[in-house]
This record gives sequence, structure tokens and C-alpha cells, in this order.
Amino acid sequence: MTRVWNRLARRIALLLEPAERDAVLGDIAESGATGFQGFRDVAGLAARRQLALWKHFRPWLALVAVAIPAGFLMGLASRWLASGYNLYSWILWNYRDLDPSLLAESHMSLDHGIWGVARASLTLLAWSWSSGYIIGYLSRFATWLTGTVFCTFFLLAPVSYALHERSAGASALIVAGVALAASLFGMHVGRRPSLTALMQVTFWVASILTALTVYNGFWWPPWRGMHAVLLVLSAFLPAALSINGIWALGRAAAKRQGWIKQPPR
Amino acid sequence: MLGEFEYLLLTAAARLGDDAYGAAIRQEIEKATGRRCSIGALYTTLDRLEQKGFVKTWMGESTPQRGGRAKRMIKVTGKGVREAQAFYSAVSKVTRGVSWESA
Repeated sequence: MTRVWNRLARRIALLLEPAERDAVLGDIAESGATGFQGFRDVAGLAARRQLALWKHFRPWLALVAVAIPAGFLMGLASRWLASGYNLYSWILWNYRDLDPSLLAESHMSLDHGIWGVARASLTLLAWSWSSGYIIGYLSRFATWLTGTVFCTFFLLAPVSYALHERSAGASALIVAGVALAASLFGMHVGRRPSLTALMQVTFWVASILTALTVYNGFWWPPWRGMHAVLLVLSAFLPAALSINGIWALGRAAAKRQGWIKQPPR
Repeated sequence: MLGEFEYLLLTAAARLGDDAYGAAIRQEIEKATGRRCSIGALYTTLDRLEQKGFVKTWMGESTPQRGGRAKRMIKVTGKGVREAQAFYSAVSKVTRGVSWESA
């Protein structure tokens, strides 16, 4: 049993900053505390640290402005993208028996469909990564909670779809799984404080692709009206952060060059 | 003005001098008060004291008995000493003439 408590204590200690984790686990080892006592100590400190994090606006912003709306929208997008996959895989499978002119008339020609599905897949991936990055960037050590909320909202639509449409729903779960993996990777990278070039590029790709997808209408019928506005707003949040990052980098460079004078103290 | 636990922590750190670090301070406080001192309370109070400039902390060396993990070393600053003196003086003044003073 002691081993289980020790393992749990080490797991919980991952919520602490590395230096503090080292010091606390060392103190527990030195004091010779039994498994449960050690676990209680680490859990107590981790709980205090987590509560302290929520006194700042950043995790709240990540939760309310990104995790809940973006998670929900991307869950829906995964579901609709899966419908696209299902439709075009069916068309591909039965292509010999179908009339190409009829497909073209109904805006379902193969080249249009494949390009559209590929663009929507890239949009979803880039958007998932960007949202994950922002959640990690804003929440830092509270990411485990904001990330869990994000994943829950993300999975709502695909899971409910899979429960209703067993055969077609499986593809929604696969698409959601891949997109979620991109989000989790984004969260992992976002917890490091620097704005990397890769992140800037991904943010812009996400924003441009989303704008293109919404503008062209494509085959996501729900992306009209309010849905489209929400999607564009959510996708341009990363762009805003990106502009802010570029602005900060530019200012720092200008200060180094002496183009901007420091105010007297 | 310091809080009671902040004063206990500062006093224990001052008493331990160069050997002041998390586990040693905790042991010192438990010995003095006869009550359990949680690591959560210790480290959050330590952060608060550091933010106020009453202590300075840094990561020290690791020992085998700590499983090779580093210690968080603590040193009371001049500002911390003055604050602890002010607290002690206030407690002494307010206790003077009270029935439990000599107990």
C-alpha cells in the first residue's frame, strides 16, 4: 500500500514547479513519512498551489474564452468533417456506378470534395493545435483542469454522434481523436513561455484556412450565420495573440537598436 | 505585521542559520508547537515571506538521505529580522500583566 501512496504522491507532485517538486519530495524522504502522510503533504501543497492559480484571470480566460467554446465548436467540426469523409469515401467506393455530371451538378465532384476535405482536415488540425497552445499558454500549471474541460466539450458532439450512428460515428471518433492529439501537443508546447516561429506559423495557417473555409461555404452547411461568426472569432483569437507576440518582439528589437527611447525613471 | 505562522517560520529559520531548509524548519516548528506542520502551509508561507522580502531562498545541494533531491535553502534578510523583532516586541508588550504571562 505504501508503494501505491508513494507513486500517487509522485504523480501529484507533477503539478508543482520542478524545483519545488524536488525540494518537497526530498523533505518527505528525509522526514521518513509513511506513504499516506507523504501523499497527504504533497496533495495539500498541490491543492494550495492550484487554488492560488485560479486567483489570476489567465486560467479563467483560458476556460471561458477558449476551452469551452473552442472545444464545443471543434467537436462539432470533427463530426461534420467525419460526415465529409464518409460521403466522399462512399463516392470513391461507388465511383464506377455514379454519373460524374450528376456529381458535378450537386457540387460533389471528386476533385472538389478531396480538396475540400483536405483543407477542412488541415484547418481542424491547425485550429486544434492553436487552441491547445493558447490553453497551455494561458493556464500553465492549471492546464490539467482547463485541458480536461476542453477535452470533455470537444468529445461531446462526436461521442453523441457515435452513440446514435454506430457505423458512421466511428469515423467521427477517429477524427476527434486525431484532432485532440494535436490539441494535447499544443497544450504541452504552450506551457513553455516563449512564442516560437512554429507556433506563429500554425496560428496564421489556422486563421487563413478557417477564413477560406468559411468564405467558400464548402460543405459544412452549419458554418453559416452565427456559427460562422463564432468560428471566425475563435480562429482569430490565435491571430490576435500572434500579432501581439510579433509586436512585442518588434518593440524589443527596436529598443535594442535604440529606436525607442526608454522613459526616464 | 507578521502572522503567527510567519513569525514561527522566520524564528526557526533564524535559529537554524546556514542549515535552514524546508524539512529542518518543519521539524523545528513541530518541536516548538507540539503540532503537525503541513508542507503545504510551510511552502506557501515561505513564498509569501519571500515576496515580502523577509527571506531569501535558493536551491541547495542534494543528499542521499533525501533520495538525491535538492534542498530549498532559506536565509532571513535584514528586513525579515526587523519585522520579527517588531512582532516579538508587540507580543511581549500586549502580554505584559496578563495572567498567563508567567505560566
